[in-house]
Amino acid sequence: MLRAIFALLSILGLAQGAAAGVRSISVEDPRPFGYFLGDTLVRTIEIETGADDEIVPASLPRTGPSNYWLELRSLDLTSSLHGDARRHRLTLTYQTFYAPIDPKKVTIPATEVTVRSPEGSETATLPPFTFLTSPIREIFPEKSGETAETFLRNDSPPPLRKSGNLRSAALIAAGLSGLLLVLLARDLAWWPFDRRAARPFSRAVRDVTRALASGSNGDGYRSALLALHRAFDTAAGHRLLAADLDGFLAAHPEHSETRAEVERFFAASRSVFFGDAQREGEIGLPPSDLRQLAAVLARQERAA
Amino acid sequence: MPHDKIESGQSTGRIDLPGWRSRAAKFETEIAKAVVGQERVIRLLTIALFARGHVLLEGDVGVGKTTLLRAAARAVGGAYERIEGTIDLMPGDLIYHTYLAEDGRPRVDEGPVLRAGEDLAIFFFNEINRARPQVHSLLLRLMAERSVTAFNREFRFPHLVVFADRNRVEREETFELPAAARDRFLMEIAITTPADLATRRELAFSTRFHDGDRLIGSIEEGILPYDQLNDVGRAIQEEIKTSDAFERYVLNLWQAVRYPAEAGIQIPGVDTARLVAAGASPRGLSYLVRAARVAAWLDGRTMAVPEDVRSVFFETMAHRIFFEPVYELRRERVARELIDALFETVPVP
Repeated sequence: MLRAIFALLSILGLAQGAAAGVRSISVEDPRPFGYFLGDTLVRTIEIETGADDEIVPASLPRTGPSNYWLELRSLDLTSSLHGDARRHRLTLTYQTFYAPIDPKKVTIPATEVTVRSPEGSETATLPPFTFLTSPIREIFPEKSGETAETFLRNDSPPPLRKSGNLRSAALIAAGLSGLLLVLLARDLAWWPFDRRAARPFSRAVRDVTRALASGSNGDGYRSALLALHRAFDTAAGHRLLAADLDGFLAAHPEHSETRAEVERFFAASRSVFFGDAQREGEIGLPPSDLRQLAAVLARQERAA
Repeated sequence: MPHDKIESGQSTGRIDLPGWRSRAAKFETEIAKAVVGQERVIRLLTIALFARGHVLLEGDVGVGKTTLLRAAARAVGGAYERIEGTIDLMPGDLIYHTYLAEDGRPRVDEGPVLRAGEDLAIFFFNEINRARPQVHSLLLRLMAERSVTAFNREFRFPHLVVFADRNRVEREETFELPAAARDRFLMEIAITTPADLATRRELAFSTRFHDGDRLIGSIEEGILPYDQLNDVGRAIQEEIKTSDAFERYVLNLWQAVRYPAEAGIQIPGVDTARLVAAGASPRGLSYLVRAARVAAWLDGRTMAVPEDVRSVFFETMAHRIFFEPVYELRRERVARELIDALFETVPVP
């Protein structure tokens, strides 16, 4: 007898295990009391079905207003396989807009969803949920001396994030970038490190004029020649000899149109300093021409 | 000055310097036929001949040092003797030739230096750094005084110019020339392979260079008669004027090359305050000015200018400057940089 009952139970159990369709519905509901206008409540409903079954998406409740006081804010459906069963987890977030005068029970009505299995469709009923909602203010607050200004509270201010570390890091990074920029500018000779090259010929104009005016019996002329020599040296970056003139003019093309004059200058200088022929030098390049040459070179230098 | 001791081989009179200048030009073109792509070396050699100074050629093997000297010897004329420096060469080998005569008795005759007597114009010492210091000291006297004592009497060589060469490849079994010997050379000229591609191609492929004797033989003989060069050299030194500014410039160069830091000379990677240990002797300066005067004369000027000094400075001065040991190892580069910086720093005029 006992053996017969056991066998029957086994058959029933097997039949149950292999069955398709909705096997069970379990509901996790939030607390059923203590809700105010605007509160949200989250219901989680787990529907266990056969492994090959699925919930028809069109049968799910729509998000948005359900009735005049209830709104479905969001709906989330996940499903996972557990052995030969599939669990569909449905998370529903509702928001209540019911404004009761006194504590009142309201009910989120039952809904149905369709489960589709290979054998056909079946309906699963999501149970209703009843909760107690309460007013948040007196019916007549004026009686106790309150007004809209007092019983309506200000919005909470937006939260301020702590930015101390971030701000320090940003300031340090900015400082470092600035420093690197300065170094880079210095390296690449950007402003303000691109100080204009000294203008030796502009200075030479003044020196030549002064020397020619001051010196007598040829000393002035020699000093003037020397002043212009020093200007050439500075412009070339090294001591410039007459033989280096081609290289200098190639490096400073702005002066190349006065090549003949510059050659006369070097020839005159050579006569004066190395040929001991002051007069020949002065005839070859008179002082006025010397002054003019310096002026021309200075003008070319400024234009370059 | 050495050449003051020499009795003139020719009555001085008036020397036709312009004519000699064109001879010098001809000398240069003739030698350039045998030694291509070495115009600067030939110019320096010409300067040395007219400045009556001895020359040390330095360079790799096979760059034409010997050919150049043989060509110069032919163009100068007079007697030409050469000797190869070897480690067992002794001073006696230069002046005596010992052998067994036909009658079986030992005989001593004049060696290479004495053989030609007073007519010896060019003495070529090949691979001088292979010879021992004893030989160097004999050579020292030969160069400085142009005389040697042999057979109990003094032999004089009024027209002698010593050319020596050494290669830079080997260091084994060589004797570095003493500073005193190096200082007696007017110039130390480095010869390198010409960089110009056309010249290189000619050197490699032209059959003209296969037979050295024929190549030398094609050069006209006696363009610069050796026995007149002393007089011409003296006339050039008298002809070319050096102004106060020029003299001041040379003295400034002298001061600056001896004490580069004080002159504000800076060389990357070199402490110029501790660079020059000694050197730049007064004899060197005198040689420098002599060479500069000849350079001016070859350029057709009657005055010496800074360019003349610059054109001969490295060859006449670099081997007279002695660096601190730490810089001596990279002597060539440092010397070049020092002298470049020198001319970029010392003001002209």
